[in-house]
Amino acid sequence: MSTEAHHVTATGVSNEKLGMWTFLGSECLLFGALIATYLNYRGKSINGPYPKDVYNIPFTSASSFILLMSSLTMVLALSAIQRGDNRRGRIWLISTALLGSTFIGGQIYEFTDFVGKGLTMKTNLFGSSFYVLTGFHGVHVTLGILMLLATAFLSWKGKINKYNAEAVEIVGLYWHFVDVIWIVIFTVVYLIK
Amino acid sequence: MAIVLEPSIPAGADDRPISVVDTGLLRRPLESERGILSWITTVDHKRLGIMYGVASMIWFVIGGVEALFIRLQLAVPNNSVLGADTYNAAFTMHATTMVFLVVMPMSAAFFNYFLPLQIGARDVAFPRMNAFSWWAYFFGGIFLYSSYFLGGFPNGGWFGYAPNTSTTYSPGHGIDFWILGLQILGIGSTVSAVNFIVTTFNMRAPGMSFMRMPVFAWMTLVASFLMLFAMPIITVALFLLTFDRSWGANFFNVSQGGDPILWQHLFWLFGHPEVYILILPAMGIVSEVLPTFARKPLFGYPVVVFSGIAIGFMGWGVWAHHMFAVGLGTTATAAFGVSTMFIAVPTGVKIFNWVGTIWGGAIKFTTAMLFSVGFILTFLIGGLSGVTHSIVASDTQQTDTYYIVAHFHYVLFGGAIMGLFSGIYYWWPKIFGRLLDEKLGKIHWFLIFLGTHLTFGPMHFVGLMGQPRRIYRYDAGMGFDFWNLVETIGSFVIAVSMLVFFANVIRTHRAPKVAVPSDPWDARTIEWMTDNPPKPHNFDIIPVVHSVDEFWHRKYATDPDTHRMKRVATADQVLHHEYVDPKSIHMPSPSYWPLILGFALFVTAYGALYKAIPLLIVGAASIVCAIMGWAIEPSAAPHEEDDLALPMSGALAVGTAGELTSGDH
Amino acid sequence: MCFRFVTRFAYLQFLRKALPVFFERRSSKRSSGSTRSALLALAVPLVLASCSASDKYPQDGFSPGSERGPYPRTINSIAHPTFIIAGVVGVFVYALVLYTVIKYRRRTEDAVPVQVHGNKFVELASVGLASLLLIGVGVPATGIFIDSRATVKDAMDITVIGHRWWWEYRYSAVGDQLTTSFPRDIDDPDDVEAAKAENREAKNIYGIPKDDRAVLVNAGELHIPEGRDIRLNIMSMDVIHNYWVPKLSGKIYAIPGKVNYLNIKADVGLAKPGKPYFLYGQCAEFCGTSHANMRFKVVVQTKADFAKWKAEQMGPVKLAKVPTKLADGTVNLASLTEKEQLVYQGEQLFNGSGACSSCHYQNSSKGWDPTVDAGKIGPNLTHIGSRKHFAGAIAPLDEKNLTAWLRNPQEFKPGSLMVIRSLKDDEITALVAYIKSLT
Ligand code: HEA
Ligand code: HEA
Ligand code: HEC
Ligand code: CUA
Ligand SMILES: [Cu+2]
Repeated sequence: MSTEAHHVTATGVSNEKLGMWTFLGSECLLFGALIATYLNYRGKSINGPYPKDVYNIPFTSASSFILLMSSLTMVLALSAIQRGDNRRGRIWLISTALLGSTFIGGQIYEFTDFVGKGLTMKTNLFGSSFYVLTGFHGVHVTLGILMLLATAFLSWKGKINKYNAEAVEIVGLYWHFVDVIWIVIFTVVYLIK
Repeated sequence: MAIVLEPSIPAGADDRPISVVDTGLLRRPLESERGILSWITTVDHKRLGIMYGVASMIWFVIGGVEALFIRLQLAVPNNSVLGADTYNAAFTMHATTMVFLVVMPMSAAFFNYFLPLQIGARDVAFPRMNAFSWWAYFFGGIFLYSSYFLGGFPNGGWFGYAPNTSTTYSPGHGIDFWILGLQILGIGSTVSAVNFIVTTFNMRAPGMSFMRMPVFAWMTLVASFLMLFAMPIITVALFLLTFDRSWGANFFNVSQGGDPILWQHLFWLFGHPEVYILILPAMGIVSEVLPTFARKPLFGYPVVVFSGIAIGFMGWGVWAHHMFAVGLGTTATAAFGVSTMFIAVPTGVKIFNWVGTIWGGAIKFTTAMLFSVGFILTFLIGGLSGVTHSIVASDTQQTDTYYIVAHFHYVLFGGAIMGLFSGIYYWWPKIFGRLLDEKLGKIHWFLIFLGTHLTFGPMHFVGLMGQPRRIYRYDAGMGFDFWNLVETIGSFVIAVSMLVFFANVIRTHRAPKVAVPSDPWDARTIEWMTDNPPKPHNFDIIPVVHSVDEFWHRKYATDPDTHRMKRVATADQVLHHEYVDPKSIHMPSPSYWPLILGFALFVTAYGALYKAIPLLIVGAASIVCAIMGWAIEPSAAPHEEDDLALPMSGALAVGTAGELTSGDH
Repeated sequence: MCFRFVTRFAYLQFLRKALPVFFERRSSKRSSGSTRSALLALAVPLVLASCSASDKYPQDGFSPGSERGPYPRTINSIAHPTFIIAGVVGVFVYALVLYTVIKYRRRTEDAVPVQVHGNKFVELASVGLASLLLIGVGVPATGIFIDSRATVKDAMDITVIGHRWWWEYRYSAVGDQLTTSFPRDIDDPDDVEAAKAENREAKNIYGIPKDDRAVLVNAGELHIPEGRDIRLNIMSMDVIHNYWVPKLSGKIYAIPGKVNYLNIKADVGLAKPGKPYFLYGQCAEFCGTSHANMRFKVVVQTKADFAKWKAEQMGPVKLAKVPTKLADGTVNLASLTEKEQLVYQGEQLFNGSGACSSCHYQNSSKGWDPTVDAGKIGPNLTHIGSRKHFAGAIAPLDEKNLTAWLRNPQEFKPGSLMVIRSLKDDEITALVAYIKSLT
């Protein structure tokens, strides 16, 4: 990238990208601790509803799949912008945001559904650890959506183009991270018996 | 986006060049040289360093006065200076203050000021984020202490064991202030950690390979990694507690099967790395001071560096040594005992290499040197008592007694604080262009050294004689009386020593300014290869580094006849000032956004504390606005230069150059 | 066990040779493994000899001779060598540093020493030496710890429950085994899980097992027979506490929802017939306002005295002497002595509605009803008059202190959960007389 050529860093990676990688390192521990908490309390609730009483695995699998697909559109967005195809880039960015929003919508639906089935944060350990873990992830996705929309907006204003496509790459890093974490959470929370 | 470069985006059909009159949401403040506004909007790492230093010194006095109250209460049996709850609040606030508001930020003061200078950078990688970290620190501290006016200080102890900190057992908002205060501080620390790591990786001067970095820079890096990975863990722990306290979750609610031990695991998984976060910077400082005043290179530089890294790694595998009395599984407990023991090896390596450094040297006893030697001698005792704790069986007798209190004050006060004071005396002329008075300095050192041993030495005895910690009173006839009185006297000796220090500062700065020599200590590293104090852009010309002790090697060379080192150049010759047009080096302009974002966090925290939804919404909205404003802020004040307006946040803005030279513009 | 072998016989024998001065003083007092009881006989006179000195430090379990049972002695058998090694390392480094800074001080301002960058040998040697020292300490230390966790056979069970800010003790009536549903082996996960499951079904969520066969409940003072292996099952009703009798053992947390174990055993010879031996204990983990006031005493008794004490304590509460009735049905107080009158009035007050009995249980002639007692927030007061100390053993149980206590519990003990209406002076006098009568 041409801007990078002018900003020689000792490692050759730009500060911003390295900063995001470093930050994601920190995030790993954040989710690590949350997942550990969830695992610690798995099967320890002393009253229901238990996971089997509330889960709708097909539904969650579908919304997980949607989130996964958003990683693909993210890749497409980045490559479009790197090619200089800003219009298509924006379309993919917005698609990514939409897919993410669908996932969040699914999560909101799921939470409402669970509450309807009598599971709240206060009900039992499963409720507490489930809502906190998936909720934290949901907040991360939401922040990611905001970042995607902001990027799309800036691109529309002409402030993002192929010369500073790294901004998109960095948002993408974050987005992929949030996706990957979901795979872990999905496996731990929904799949492992 | 520290150093702004000329944009070089060729105008293309679809690539509209970036608007040149963009001012963002708020006009960037001008780079004025003085005035309070220039301080609160500054993004200059040196100014922030000073701000960290001053603030942490104020907190030190506050935390110290709390300690003096503790000591007054314990001076004689069944004393009544403080009541039970007040006493509990006193040690909770004392410890929280000392750990989070004194030692960490005082270390951050040195990171800020000297990391860029030592690696030959013009600023840190993300100057505005750096300023934001300071504001998080500032508001976090205020938030924590505002509890005093809003229902009383937290009083759950500095590690806030659940379920004692649950609403059932700690009603009122004290603990909430503690939780949210630490959350704000934690955000600041995480951001700093990212910043320092990226700075160290990316902004090193030409030739400054990792194995040529000064040890202080190394220890900064290791401590930053520890912060990066430790902070999220306490964040999670605190969140769990918040959800329990405010939203009825069950994490530590035993009647629902909640597990209080989980809190301990999370806290100490953070807490132990945290203690190394507190000590590594001081160790870095000592590793700078000893070679300078012994006029010898650091003995076994690679070993010292790797032992620092080893401490950083091993620090993750020992946390359960704070939980030897919990009744964890036998095997696990035994394993943690052994892993703890072996942390003595890398630490011992450091101590022996420090001795190796001064061995055969030409030691000059400046105040800075005395503090460094004092560090070794006091830290050693704390470290050795640490090893006696690691024997699980005997720790079951020692834990929760004053013997532990003795251990950690030897490492924290005798270690971290002494090391930091060594740095203060060593780098004072660099920061302020004035030398602190050596005579007063030595009195300070003598009194603090004496006071440390008087205060914390007898704690070993009373601890082994069975005085538990965190008791607001004890009976006569337990054998505690005499030594407790000695401890109290000792703490006042420390207080007097601090008064001497403040007198020294005032005296030094009242005196008419005399030009301080550019190299007062015959130093070895490149932060001395610039003015005292340095210009905003640090170096006119970024030095090219060839060895660990770059500055020294420019002053001294081997005499071909005697094969010994001989002075070949004076510092001023090395520092040959080339004229560089300061206008040609662009430093980032000040900004309001760090302050605004910090303040928004502060407001949000009150909203979260009182569950005041409107306030929460206002707070959250202002956080989002602040981030947006931050993101679209241009990188320089509009009048100055037409610049690249950077999309997205500071984190995404265009980077900076480690090797930027003045010719770049 | 391999560890045991290394610990007890090889390494310590070696140290004993290496550090003769130190072990000479202690060797006869150390009790170890199977030879523990044999050594005890030898230990008694020595322990008694050092009694007077160490009573100046009633919570000292560290100094040689301060121990009053085998467990702290075992702990000290590793602690003391460790301290010596640490001391030697400390003195060595101190000497080294002081020597260096004096020897190599700068004599002329422009002296430039030889620029030594390191020395592989010194660096490796320091790593090697430190590791060796640590291995030397670590192996026996681990062994001793593992041994100290071992399950002692035929120990007497006592349940210890931490409350804010006092300790409750429960003894079994049938033999010495309190219950079957504490896991016998804490390192056996199945055993632990089974016990937990059982506890979950128990009435009490804090894990007091449903087949708790305790009949004797008291607070503040732990009575134990001398020379008997005792296993304390330690729990908590509220927050985390830490049970510690320095002269008998190390600490262990009392954690809500978890049962912890502590082996203790008091030396024979401490108590005399009719004259128990008092040991000091204290809650060591911060547990709120009155953490400092959560103390207790361990009362070591001869076996016969202990049996007698237990029999007495299992009896129901002493009822006050009832006055005769007058013709109109009202009581004739004059039929009692002045003291009896006070006790009678005290009893009436105590059992009045919303009064003391709402928080304090007393065993009736029907025996002890755990389902009722467990729901009460105050200590069981059946035989309160026989205790020597009260309110977390912070004060001797006498008229003056009881009066102060009943006048304002929170002033006597900050934060105390005993919240009562303010009592008139004559009410207090009556209650104090009643309490004292409950032997
Ligand atoms: C700056 C902070 C700092 C540092 C550096 C250390 C360093 C060490 N600490 Fe400490 N520690 C604390 C701060 C620190 N600690 C705090 C704050 C607490 C209490 C928290 C609370 O409860 O409130 C605590 C508590 C604590 C405990 C828990 C005690 C308890 O509550 O029961 C233990 C147990 O093992 C321990 C061990 C150690 C060890 C083995 C080291 C080692 O790193 C020390 C290594 C150094 C040396 C050993 C000296 C030099 C070495 C040589 C000269 C080599 C030769 C030596 C030998 C072969 C022995 N510490
Ligand atoms: C870096 C950390 C740090 C530092 C520097 C200190 C410094 C001191 N500490 Fe502290 N301390 C802790 C960390 C620290 N402490 C921790 C983590 C705990 C555990 C808390 C818990 O259990 O939860 C603790 C607990 C603790 C206790 C035990 C409380 C208890 O368990 O009941 C005691 C008791 O003596 C104590 C004393 C002191 C003293 C006398 C100092 C002194 O060194 C202080 C010296 C400073 C001053 C004396 C102030 C200097 C300035 C002046 C006085 C100027 C005069 C001012 C004017 C004229 C306006 N500390
Ligand atoms: C609100 C509940 C409550 C009421 C009512 C109450 N107590 Fe208590 N009592 C307690 C608690 C809790 C303790 C333990 C206090 C401590 O040691 O911290 C206690 C302790 C005591 C003790 C000391 C017991 C020991 O062994 O340490 C005595 C004696 C006592 N109460 C007597 C009384 C009398 C007499 C009354 C009636 C006037 C009374 N209590 C009413 C809760 C109560
Ligand atoms: Cu119970 Cu401290
Ligand atoms: Cu630790």
